[in-house]
Amino acid sequence: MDVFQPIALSLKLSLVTTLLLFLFGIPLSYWLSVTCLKVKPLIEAVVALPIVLPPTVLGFYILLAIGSNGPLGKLFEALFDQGLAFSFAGLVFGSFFYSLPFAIQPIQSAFESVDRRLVEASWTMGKSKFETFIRIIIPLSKRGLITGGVLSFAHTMGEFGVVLMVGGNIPGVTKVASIAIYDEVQAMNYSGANIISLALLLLSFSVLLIVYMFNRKVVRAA
Amino acid sequence: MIGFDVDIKKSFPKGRGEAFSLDAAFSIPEGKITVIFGPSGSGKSTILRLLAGLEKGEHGRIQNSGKTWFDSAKGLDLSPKDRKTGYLFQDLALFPHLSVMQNILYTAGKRNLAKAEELLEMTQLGGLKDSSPDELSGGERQRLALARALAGSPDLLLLDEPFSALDRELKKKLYDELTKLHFSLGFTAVMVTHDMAEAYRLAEHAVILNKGRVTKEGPPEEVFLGKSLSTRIQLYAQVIAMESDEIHTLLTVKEGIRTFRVFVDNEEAGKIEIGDEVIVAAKASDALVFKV
Repeated sequence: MDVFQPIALSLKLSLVTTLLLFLFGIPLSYWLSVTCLKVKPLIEAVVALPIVLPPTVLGFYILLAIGSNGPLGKLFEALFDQGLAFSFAGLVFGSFFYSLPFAIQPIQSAFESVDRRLVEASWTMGKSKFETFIRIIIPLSKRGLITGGVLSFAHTMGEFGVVLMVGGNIPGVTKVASIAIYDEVQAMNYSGANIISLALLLLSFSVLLIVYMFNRKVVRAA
Repeated sequence: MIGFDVDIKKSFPKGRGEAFSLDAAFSIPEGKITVIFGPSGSGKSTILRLLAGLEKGEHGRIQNSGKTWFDSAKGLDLSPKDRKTGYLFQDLALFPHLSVMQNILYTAGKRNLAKAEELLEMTQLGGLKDSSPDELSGGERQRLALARALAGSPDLLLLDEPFSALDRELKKKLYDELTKLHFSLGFTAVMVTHDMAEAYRLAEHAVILNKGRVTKEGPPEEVFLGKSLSTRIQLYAQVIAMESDEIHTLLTVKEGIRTFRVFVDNEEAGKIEIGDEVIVAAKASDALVFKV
Protein backbone atom coordinates (compact mmCIF):
# COMPACT_ATOMS: atom_id res chain seq x y z
CA MET A 1 0.00 0.00 0.00
CA ASP A 2 1.37 3.39 -1.01
CA VAL A 3 0.55 5.81 1.82
CA PHE A 4 2.36 8.82 0.42
CA GLN A 5 0.81 8.97 -3.03
CA PRO A 6 -2.81 9.70 -1.95
CA ILE A 7 -1.62 12.15 0.72
CA ALA A 8 0.64 13.93 -1.77
CA LEU A 9 -2.27 14.06 -4.23
CA SER A 10 -4.59 15.51 -1.55
CA LEU A 11 -1.95 18.11 -0.71
CA LYS A 12 -1.46 19.01 -4.36
CA LEU A 13 -5.23 19.25 -4.92
CA SER A 14 -5.68 21.44 -1.83
CA LEU A 15 -2.84 23.77 -2.80
CA VAL A 16 -3.99 24.19 -6.41
CA THR A 17 -7.62 24.67 -5.36
CA THR A 18 -6.70 27.21 -2.67
CA LEU A 19 -4.53 29.12 -5.14
CA LEU A 20 -7.32 29.22 -7.73
CA LEU A 21 -9.84 30.23 -5.08
CA PHE A 22 -7.61 33.17 -4.13
CA LEU A 23 -7.17 34.12 -7.76
CA PHE A 24 -10.89 34.16 -8.58
CA GLY A 25 -12.30 34.50 -5.08
CA ILE A 26 -10.60 37.79 -4.13
CA PRO A 27 -12.04 39.81 -7.05
CA LEU A 28 -15.45 38.13 -6.63
CA SER A 29 -15.43 38.79 -2.86
CA TYR A 30 -14.49 42.42 -3.43
CA TRP A 31 -17.21 42.87 -6.03
CA LEU A 32 -19.76 41.31 -3.64
CA SER A 33 -18.54 43.59 -0.83
CA VAL A 34 -19.10 46.81 -2.80
CA THR A 35 -21.89 46.11 -5.27
CA CYS A 36 -25.41 47.42 -4.77
CA LEU A 37 -26.83 45.52 -7.77
CA LYS A 38 -30.06 43.62 -7.25
CA VAL A 39 -28.38 40.45 -8.52
CA LYS A 40 -26.08 40.35 -5.43
CA PRO A 41 -28.31 38.06 -3.26
CA LEU A 42 -28.65 35.67 -6.19
CA ILE A 43 -24.86 35.38 -6.61
CA GLU A 44 -24.41 35.02 -2.83
CA ALA A 45 -26.98 32.22 -2.73
CA VAL A 46 -25.28 30.38 -5.61
CA VAL A 47 -21.86 30.74 -3.92
CA ALA A 48 -23.25 29.42 -0.61
CA LEU A 49 -25.06 26.41 -2.12
CA PRO A 50 -22.23 23.89 -1.46
CA ILE A 51 -22.62 24.52 2.29
CA VAL A 52 -26.15 23.08 2.31
CA LEU A 53 -26.11 20.70 -0.65
CA PRO A 54 -25.08 17.05 -0.11
CA PRO A 55 -21.66 16.64 -1.81
CA THR A 56 -23.10 13.87 -3.98
CA VAL A 57 -25.72 16.25 -5.44
CA LEU A 58 -23.07 18.87 -6.23
CA GLY A 59 -20.73 16.16 -7.56
CA PHE A 60 -23.51 14.72 -9.73
CA TYR A 61 -24.26 18.04 -11.46
CA ILE A 62 -20.56 18.85 -11.85
CA LEU A 63 -20.08 15.42 -13.42
CA LEU A 64 -22.93 16.12 -15.86
CA ALA A 65 -21.32 19.45 -16.79
CA ILE A 66 -17.78 18.15 -17.23
CA GLY A 67 -18.58 14.68 -18.58
CA SER A 68 -17.80 13.87 -22.20
CA ASN A 69 -21.37 14.93 -23.19
CA GLY A 70 -21.48 17.98 -20.90
CA PRO A 71 -20.85 21.49 -22.26
CA LEU A 72 -17.70 22.09 -20.20
CA GLY A 73 -16.39 18.59 -20.85
CA LYS A 74 -16.81 19.08 -24.63
CA LEU A 75 -15.10 22.49 -24.50
CA PHE A 76 -12.19 21.14 -22.44
CA GLU A 77 -11.77 18.21 -24.82
CA ALA A 78 -11.78 20.52 -27.83
CA LEU A 79 -9.15 22.76 -26.24
CA PHE A 80 -6.82 20.20 -24.66
CA ASP A 81 -7.64 16.98 -26.48
CA GLN A 82 -8.48 15.11 -23.26
CA GLY A 83 -11.50 14.57 -21.02
CA LEU A 84 -12.14 16.63 -17.90
CA ALA A 85 -14.08 14.06 -15.86
CA PHE A 86 -11.98 11.50 -13.95
CA SER A 87 -8.83 13.60 -14.32
CA PHE A 88 -6.87 15.76 -11.86
CA ALA A 89 -8.11 18.89 -13.68
CA GLY A 90 -11.68 17.66 -13.16
CA LEU A 91 -10.97 17.17 -9.45
CA VAL A 92 -9.67 20.74 -9.22
CA PHE A 93 -12.81 21.98 -11.01
CA GLY A 94 -15.10 20.13 -8.60
CA SER A 95 -13.09 21.14 -5.51
CA PHE A 96 -13.13 24.79 -6.61
CA PHE A 97 -16.94 24.94 -6.52
CA TYR A 98 -17.20 22.77 -3.43
CA SER A 99 -14.88 25.04 -1.41
CA LEU A 100 -15.97 28.34 -2.98
CA PRO A 101 -18.15 29.55 -0.06
CA PHE A 102 -15.41 28.74 2.45
CA ALA A 103 -13.10 31.17 0.65
CA ILE A 104 -15.61 33.83 -0.43
CA GLN A 105 -17.55 34.36 2.79
CA PRO A 106 -14.67 35.22 5.19
CA ILE A 107 -12.88 37.30 2.56
CA GLN A 108 -16.06 39.21 1.62
CA SER A 109 -16.80 39.81 5.27
CA ALA A 110 -13.22 41.11 5.83
CA PHE A 111 -13.50 43.47 2.85
CA GLU A 112 -16.86 44.76 4.13
CA SER A 113 -15.38 45.49 7.55
CA VAL A 114 -12.66 47.82 6.19
CA ASP A 115 -13.64 51.36 7.20
CA ARG A 116 -14.98 53.12 4.10
CA ARG A 117 -13.34 56.37 5.23
CA LEU A 118 -9.87 54.80 4.87
CA VAL A 119 -10.66 53.87 1.29
CA GLU A 120 -11.98 57.35 0.52
CA ALA A 121 -8.98 58.95 2.25
CA SER A 122 -6.68 56.96 -0.05
CA TRP A 123 -8.61 58.07 -3.15
CA THR A 124 -8.31 61.73 -2.16
CA MET A 125 -4.54 61.21 -1.80
CA GLY A 126 -4.29 60.56 -5.52
CA LYS A 127 -4.33 56.77 -5.33
CA SER A 128 -6.28 54.73 -7.89
CA LYS A 129 -8.93 52.22 -6.87
CA PHE A 130 -6.51 49.36 -7.65
CA GLU A 131 -3.64 50.87 -5.63
CA THR A 132 -6.03 51.52 -2.74
CA PHE A 133 -7.16 47.89 -2.93
CA ILE A 134 -3.59 46.57 -2.83
CA ARG A 135 -2.17 48.97 -0.21
CA ILE A 136 -5.14 49.55 2.10
CA ILE A 137 -7.91 46.98 1.67
CA ILE A 138 -5.77 43.83 1.31
CA PRO A 139 -3.48 44.54 4.35
CA LEU A 140 -6.49 45.43 6.51
CA SER A 141 -8.28 42.23 5.43
CA LYS A 142 -5.32 39.96 6.21
CA ARG A 143 -7.19 38.01 8.85
CA GLY A 144 -10.14 37.24 6.57
CA LEU A 145 -7.79 36.25 3.76
CA ILE A 146 -5.92 33.85 6.04
CA THR A 147 -9.17 32.37 7.35
CA GLY A 148 -10.49 31.94 3.78
CA GLY A 149 -7.27 30.26 2.70
CA VAL A 150 -7.17 27.89 5.69
CA LEU A 151 -10.81 26.90 5.37
CA SER A 152 -10.47 26.29 1.63
CA PHE A 153 -7.33 24.20 2.14
CA ALA A 154 -8.73 22.16 5.04
CA HIS A 155 -12.09 21.67 3.34
CA THR A 156 -10.44 20.40 0.15
CA MET A 157 -8.11 18.09 2.12
CA GLY A 158 -11.12 16.42 3.73
CA GLU A 159 -13.56 16.24 0.81
CA PHE A 160 -14.89 12.88 -0.23
CA GLY A 161 -18.28 12.92 -1.96
CA VAL A 162 -17.51 15.39 -4.72
CA VAL A 163 -14.08 13.93 -5.56
CA LEU A 164 -15.49 10.42 -5.70
CA MET A 165 -18.31 11.51 -8.07
CA VAL A 166 -16.09 13.69 -10.29
CA GLY A 167 -12.74 11.91 -10.15
CA GLY A 168 -13.48 8.29 -9.30
CA ASN A 169 -10.68 6.26 -7.80
CA ILE A 170 -7.68 6.21 -10.17
CA PRO A 171 -4.40 5.65 -8.26
CA GLY A 172 -1.94 8.49 -8.76
CA VAL A 173 -4.51 10.58 -10.67
CA THR A 174 -7.68 11.00 -8.62
CA LYS A 175 -7.27 8.69 -5.64
CA VAL A 176 -6.89 11.25 -2.87
CA ALA A 177 -6.32 10.42 0.83
CA SER A 178 -10.00 10.36 1.85
CA ILE A 179 -10.80 7.85 -0.93
CA ALA A 180 -7.72 5.76 -0.09
CA ILE A 181 -8.96 5.51 3.52
CA TYR A 182 -12.39 4.39 2.29
CA ASP A 183 -10.72 1.80 0.02
CA GLU A 184 -8.61 0.39 2.87
CA VAL A 185 -11.64 0.12 5.14
CA GLN A 186 -13.60 -1.65 2.38
CA ALA A 187 -10.65 -4.07 2.06
CA MET A 188 -10.74 -4.59 5.86
CA ASN A 189 -7.19 -3.21 6.06
CA TYR A 190 -7.78 -1.16 9.21
CA SER A 191 -4.09 -0.62 9.94
CA GLY A 192 -3.56 0.84 6.44
CA ALA A 193 -6.63 3.09 6.89
CA ASN A 194 -5.28 4.12 10.28
CA ILE A 195 -1.86 5.14 8.86
CA ILE A 196 -3.39 7.38 6.17
CA SER A 197 -6.00 8.77 8.60
CA LEU A 198 -3.34 9.55 11.18
CA ALA A 199 -1.13 11.21 8.58
CA LEU A 200 -4.09 13.27 7.34
CA LEU A 201 -5.06 14.18 10.90
CA LEU A 202 -1.54 15.32 11.84
CA LEU A 203 -1.08 17.21 8.60
CA SER A 204 -4.40 19.04 8.86
CA PHE A 205 -3.83 19.82 12.53
CA SER A 206 -0.31 21.16 11.86
CA VAL A 207 -1.51 23.41 9.03
CA LEU A 208 -4.37 24.76 11.14
CA LEU A 209 -2.11 25.29 14.16
CA ILE A 210 0.53 27.19 12.17
CA VAL A 211 -2.06 29.36 10.48
CA TYR A 212 -3.96 30.18 13.67
CA MET A 213 -0.70 31.02 15.44
CA PHE A 214 0.19 33.31 12.56
CA ASN A 215 -3.30 34.80 12.62
CA ARG A 216 -2.91 35.55 16.33
CA LYS A 217 0.35 37.32 15.60
CA VAL A 218 -1.33 39.40 12.90
CA VAL A 219 -4.15 40.38 15.25
CA ARG A 220 -1.67 41.33 18.00
CA ALA A 221 0.38 43.39 15.54
CA ALA A 222 -2.78 45.17 14.41
CA MET B 1 -2.27 77.76 -4.62
CA ILE B 2 -5.47 78.64 -6.42
CA GLY B 3 -8.96 79.87 -5.63
CA PHE B 4 -12.16 78.10 -6.61
CA ASP B 5 -15.66 78.99 -7.77
CA VAL B 6 -18.29 76.55 -6.62
CA ASP B 7 -21.89 76.30 -7.79
CA ILE B 8 -23.37 72.92 -7.06
CA LYS B 9 -26.75 71.26 -6.74
CA LYS B 10 -27.65 67.82 -5.49
CA SER B 11 -30.85 66.22 -4.19
CA PHE B 12 -31.10 63.36 -1.77
CA PRO B 13 -34.44 61.55 -1.90
CA LYS B 14 -36.16 60.52 1.29
CA GLY B 15 -34.33 57.40 2.42
CA ARG B 16 -33.16 56.74 5.95
CA GLY B 17 -33.52 60.47 6.66
CA GLU B 18 -35.63 63.33 5.35
CA ALA B 19 -35.38 64.40 1.70
CA PHE B 20 -32.70 67.06 1.31
CA SER B 21 -31.56 69.30 -1.49
CA LEU B 22 -28.30 71.21 -1.68
CA ASP B 23 -28.05 74.30 -3.86
CA ALA B 24 -24.92 76.21 -2.91
CA ALA B 25 -22.82 78.76 -4.77
CA PHE B 26 -19.79 80.40 -3.13
CA SER B 27 -16.15 81.18 -3.73
CA ILE B 28 -13.00 79.81 -2.10
CA PRO B 29 -10.35 82.55 -2.20
CA GLU B 30 -6.79 81.56 -2.97
CA GLY B 31 -4.45 81.00 -0.03
CA LYS B 32 -7.18 81.56 2.59
CA ILE B 33 -9.07 79.41 5.05
CA THR B 34 -12.73 79.45 4.04
CA VAL B 35 -15.00 78.31 6.85
CA ILE B 36 -18.45 76.94 6.06
CA PHE B 37 -20.53 77.41 9.17
CA GLY B 38 -23.96 75.91 9.70
CA PRO B 39 -26.04 73.68 11.95
CA SER B 40 -25.92 69.88 11.74
CA GLY B 41 -27.71 68.64 8.65
CA SER B 42 -27.21 71.86 6.70
CA GLY B 43 -25.12 70.08 4.06
CA LYS B 44 -21.62 71.14 5.14
CA SER B 45 -19.98 67.72 4.93
CA THR B 46 -21.80 66.99 1.67
CA ILE B 47 -20.15 70.07 0.16
CA LEU B 48 -16.72 68.77 1.19
CA ARG B 49 -17.51 65.35 -0.31
CA LEU B 50 -18.66 67.01 -3.53
CA LEU B 51 -15.47 69.09 -3.64
CA ALA B 52 -13.34 65.97 -3.14
CA GLY B 53 -15.28 64.03 -5.77
CA LEU B 54 -16.45 61.42 -3.25
CA GLU B 55 -20.05 62.40 -4.01
CA LYS B 56 -21.32 63.02 -7.50
CA GLY B 57 -23.00 66.38 -8.12
CA GLU B 58 -26.14 66.61 -10.26
CA HIS B 59 -25.82 70.13 -11.64
CA GLY B 60 -23.32 72.95 -11.51
CA ARG B 61 -19.61 73.57 -11.68
CA ILE B 62 -16.47 73.43 -9.54
CA GLN B 63 -13.57 75.23 -11.16
CA ASN B 64 -10.41 77.10 -10.43
CA SER B 65 -8.38 79.39 -12.64
CA GLY B 66 -6.55 76.49 -14.27
CA LYS B 67 -8.85 73.51 -14.16
CA THR B 68 -12.48 72.41 -14.03
CA TRP B 69 -13.15 69.60 -11.60
CA PHE B 70 -16.85 69.26 -12.25
CA ASP B 71 -19.12 70.65 -14.97
CA SER B 72 -22.49 68.97 -15.41
CA ALA B 73 -23.13 70.82 -18.69
CA LYS B 74 -19.97 69.34 -20.23
CA GLY B 75 -20.39 65.96 -18.51
CA LEU B 76 -17.04 66.48 -16.76
CA ASP B 77 -16.48 64.96 -13.33
CA LEU B 78 -12.88 64.33 -12.24
CA SER B 79 -12.33 61.32 -9.99
CA PRO B 80 -11.10 61.98 -6.41
CA LYS B 81 -7.57 60.88 -7.35
CA ASP B 82 -7.34 63.53 -10.08
CA ARG B 83 -8.56 66.49 -7.98
CA LYS B 84 -5.47 67.03 -5.81
CA THR B 85 -7.25 67.60 -2.50
CA GLY B 86 -6.08 66.88 1.03
CA TYR B 87 -8.98 65.65 3.15
CA LEU B 88 -8.96 65.71 6.93
CA PHE B 89 -11.90 63.54 7.93
CA GLN B 90 -13.84 64.13 11.14
CA ASP B 91 -12.71 60.72 12.44
CA LEU B 92 -9.21 61.33 10.93
CA ALA B 93 -9.13 58.04 8.95
CA LEU B 94 -5.48 57.35 9.77
CA PHE B 95 -4.22 54.10 8.28
CA PRO B 96 -3.90 51.78 11.31
CA HIS B 97 -1.49 49.35 9.62
CA LEU B 98 1.03 52.08 8.74
CA SER B 99 3.40 53.94 11.05
CA VAL B 100 3.31 57.72 11.48
CA MET B 101 6.01 58.18 8.81
CA GLN B 102 4.37 55.66 6.47
CA ASN B 103 1.05 57.51 6.78
CA ILE B 104 2.76 60.69 5.58
CA LEU B 105 4.76 58.93 2.85
CA TYR B 106 1.57 57.30 1.55
CA THR B 107 0.51 60.78 0.44
CA ALA B 108 3.88 62.42 -0.15
CA GLY B 109 5.43 59.49 -2.05
CA LYS B 110 8.63 57.70 -1.06
CA ARG B 111 10.74 60.11 -3.10
CA ASN B 112 9.62 63.01 -0.93
CA LEU B 113 11.21 61.79 2.29
CA ALA B 114 12.67 65.23 3.05
CA LYS B 115 9.26 66.83 2.75
CA ALA B 116 7.71 64.18 4.97
CA GLU B 117 10.44 64.76 7.59
CA GLU B 118 9.83 68.52 7.40
CA LEU B 119 6.07 68.11 7.89
CA LEU B 120 6.66 65.80 10.86
CA GLU B 121 8.95 68.41 12.43
CA MET B 122 6.45 71.20 11.75
CA THR B 123 3.71 69.20 13.45
CA GLN B 124 6.03 68.14 16.30
CA LEU B 125 5.80 64.45 15.42
CA GLY B 126 9.47 64.00 14.52
CA GLY B 127 10.16 61.76 17.50
CA LEU B 128 7.15 59.56 16.81
CA LYS B 129 7.69 58.63 13.19
CA ASP B 130 7.93 54.88 13.87
CA SER B 131 4.91 54.82 16.20
CA SER B 132 1.58 53.39 15.19
CA PRO B 133 -1.36 55.87 15.02
CA ASP B 134 -2.98 53.92 17.87
CA GLU B 135 -0.10 54.87 20.17
CA LEU B 136 -0.62 58.62 19.69
CA SER B 137 -2.59 61.01 21.88
CA GLY B 138 -5.67 62.81 20.53
CA GLY B 139 -3.71 65.95 19.64
CA GLU B 140 -0.90 63.98 18.00
CA ARG B 141 -3.38 62.02 15.91
CA GLN B 142 -4.99 65.28 14.81
CA ARG B 143 -1.62 66.73 13.84
CA LEU B 144 -0.69 63.56 11.96
CA ALA B 145 -3.95 63.69 9.98
CA LEU B 146 -3.25 67.33 9.12
CA ALA B 147 0.35 66.61 8.11
CA ARG B 148 -0.81 63.68 5.97
CA ALA B 149 -3.47 65.81 4.26
CA LEU B 150 -0.82 68.45 3.47
CA ALA B 151 1.87 65.98 2.37
CA GLY B 152 0.59 65.77 -1.21
CA SER B 153 0.80 69.59 -1.64
CA PRO B 154 -2.94 69.74 -2.31
CA ASP B 155 -4.57 72.49 -4.37
CA LEU B 156 -7.36 72.46 -1.82
CA LEU B 157 -7.28 71.27 1.80
CA LEU B 158 -10.64 70.05 3.12
CA LEU B 159 -11.23 69.94 6.88
CA ASP B 160 -14.38 68.22 8.10
CA GLU B 161 -15.07 69.42 11.65
CA PRO B 162 -11.54 68.37 12.61
CA PHE B 163 -11.67 69.68 16.17
CA SER B 164 -15.22 68.69 17.17
CA ALA B 165 -14.22 65.72 19.34
CA LEU B 166 -11.46 67.52 21.27
CA ASP B 167 -11.49 69.28 24.64
CA ARG B 168 -11.29 73.07 24.83
CA GLU B 169 -7.61 73.33 25.75
CA LEU B 170 -6.47 71.01 22.98
CA LYS B 171 -8.72 72.81 20.49
CA LYS B 172 -7.10 76.12 21.35
CA LYS B 173 -3.63 74.67 20.90
CA LEU B 174 -4.51 73.11 17.57
CA TYR B 175 -6.14 76.33 16.28
CA ASP B 176 -2.77 78.02 16.86
CA GLU B 177 -0.91 75.20 15.15
CA LEU B 178 -3.24 75.26 12.15
CA THR B 179 -2.82 79.04 11.93
CA LYS B 180 0.97 78.74 12.11
CA LEU B 181 1.03 76.02 9.43
CA HIS B 182 -1.23 78.13 7.27
CA PHE B 183 1.06 81.14 7.59
CA SER B 184 4.07 79.00 6.74
CA LEU B 185 2.59 77.04 3.84
CA GLY B 186 -0.13 79.39 2.56
CA PHE B 187 -2.55 76.65 1.51
CA THR B 188 -6.11 77.18 0.29
CA ALA B 189 -8.50 75.42 2.65
CA VAL B 190 -12.18 74.83 3.30
CA MET B 191 -13.17 73.92 6.83
CA VAL B 192 -16.70 73.07 7.95
CA THR B 193 -17.86 73.54 11.51
CA HIS B 194 -21.00 74.10 13.57
CA ASP B 195 -19.01 75.92 16.27
CA MET B 196 -19.32 79.67 15.73
CA ALA B 197 -16.35 80.60 17.97
CA GLU B 198 -14.19 78.17 16.02
CA ALA B 199 -15.49 79.50 12.71
CA TYR B 200 -14.73 83.10 13.72
CA ARG B 201 -11.32 82.17 15.15
CA LEU B 202 -10.09 80.44 11.99
CA ALA B 203 -12.01 81.95 9.09
CA GLU B 204 -10.47 84.34 6.63
CA HIS B 205 -13.50 83.93 4.41
CA ALA B 206 -16.82 82.74 5.79
CA VAL B 207 -19.86 81.04 4.29
CA ILE B 208 -23.04 80.46 6.28
CA LEU B 209 -25.06 77.48 5.16
CA ASN B 210 -28.59 76.71 6.21
CA LYS B 211 -30.76 73.87 4.89
CA GLY B 212 -28.50 73.43 1.90
CA ARG B 213 -28.49 77.13 0.90
CA VAL B 214 -25.79 79.78 1.32
CA THR B 215 -27.36 82.58 3.35
CA LYS B 216 -24.27 84.79 3.80
CA GLU B 217 -20.75 84.93 2.44
CA GLY B 218 -17.84 87.30 2.95
CA PRO B 219 -15.17 88.40 5.42
CA PRO B 220 -15.76 86.76 8.83
CA GLU B 221 -16.17 90.07 10.67
CA GLU B 222 -18.89 91.05 8.26
CA VAL B 223 -20.58 87.65 8.21
CA PHE B 224 -20.48 86.95 11.95
CA LEU B 225 -20.41 90.46 13.50
CA GLY B 226 -21.92 92.59 10.79
CA LYS B 227 -18.82 94.84 10.78
CA SER B 228 -16.42 95.54 7.93
CA LEU B 229 -13.18 94.81 9.74
CA SER B 230 -11.68 92.35 7.36
CA THR B 231 -8.06 93.53 7.66
CA ARG B 232 -5.78 91.19 9.49
CA ILE B 233 -2.33 91.76 10.84
CA GLN B 234 0.13 88.99 10.24
CA LEU B 235 3.88 89.30 10.15
CA TYR B 236 7.07 87.38 10.75
CA ALA B 237 9.22 89.04 13.36
CA GLN B 238 12.10 88.51 15.74
CA VAL B 239 11.76 88.80 19.50
CA ILE B 240 14.16 91.44 20.80
CA ALA B 241 12.90 91.90 24.37
CA MET B 242 10.58 90.26 26.90
CA GLU B 243 9.02 91.68 30.09
CA SER B 244 6.72 89.58 32.24
CA ASP B 245 4.25 90.15 35.05
CA GLU B 246 2.21 87.43 36.78
CA ILE B 247 -0.13 86.80 33.87
CA HIS B 248 1.22 88.32 30.72
CA THR B 249 4.48 88.80 28.91
CA LEU B 250 5.08 91.84 26.79
CA LEU B 251 7.13 90.90 23.77
CA THR B 252 8.97 93.47 21.76
CA VAL B 253 9.31 92.15 18.24
CA LYS B 254 11.09 93.57 15.26
CA GLU B 255 10.08 93.12 11.64
CA GLY B 256 12.45 94.87 9.23
CA ILE B 257 12.78 98.43 10.54
CA ARG B 258 9.49 98.28 12.43
CA THR B 259 9.17 97.38 16.10
CA PHE B 260 5.96 96.21 17.77
CA ARG B 261 4.97 95.22 21.25
CA VAL B 262 2.50 92.40 21.78
CA PHE B 263 1.04 90.82 24.87
CA VAL B 264 0.99 87.03 25.12
CA ASP B 265 0.04 84.88 28.08
CA ASN B 266 2.92 83.48 30.11
CA GLU B 267 2.26 79.89 29.05
CA GLU B 268 2.89 80.75 25.39
CA ALA B 269 5.76 83.08 26.33
CA GLY B 270 7.47 80.17 28.13
CA LYS B 271 8.21 78.62 24.73
CA ILE B 272 9.77 81.80 23.37
CA GLU B 273 13.27 83.16 23.89
CA ILE B 274 14.87 86.43 22.89
CA GLY B 275 16.17 86.07 19.33
CA ASP B 276 13.41 83.60 18.26
CA GLU B 277 11.57 84.08 14.97
CA VAL B 278 7.82 84.36 15.64
CA ILE B 279 4.63 84.96 13.73
CA VAL B 280 2.45 87.75 15.07
CA ALA B 281 -1.14 87.28 13.97
CA ALA B 282 -4.19 89.20 15.02
CA LYS B 283 -7.51 90.34 13.76
CA ALA B 284 -7.49 94.10 13.35
CA SER B 285 -10.29 94.39 15.89
CA ASP B 286 -8.28 92.54 18.56
CA ALA B 287 -4.83 94.03 18.00
CA LEU B 288 -3.00 96.10 20.57
CA VAL B 289 -0.46 98.45 19.03
CA PHE B 290 2.03 100.63 20.94
CA LYS B 291 4.15 103.39 19.50
CA VAL B 292 7.80 102.63 20.19
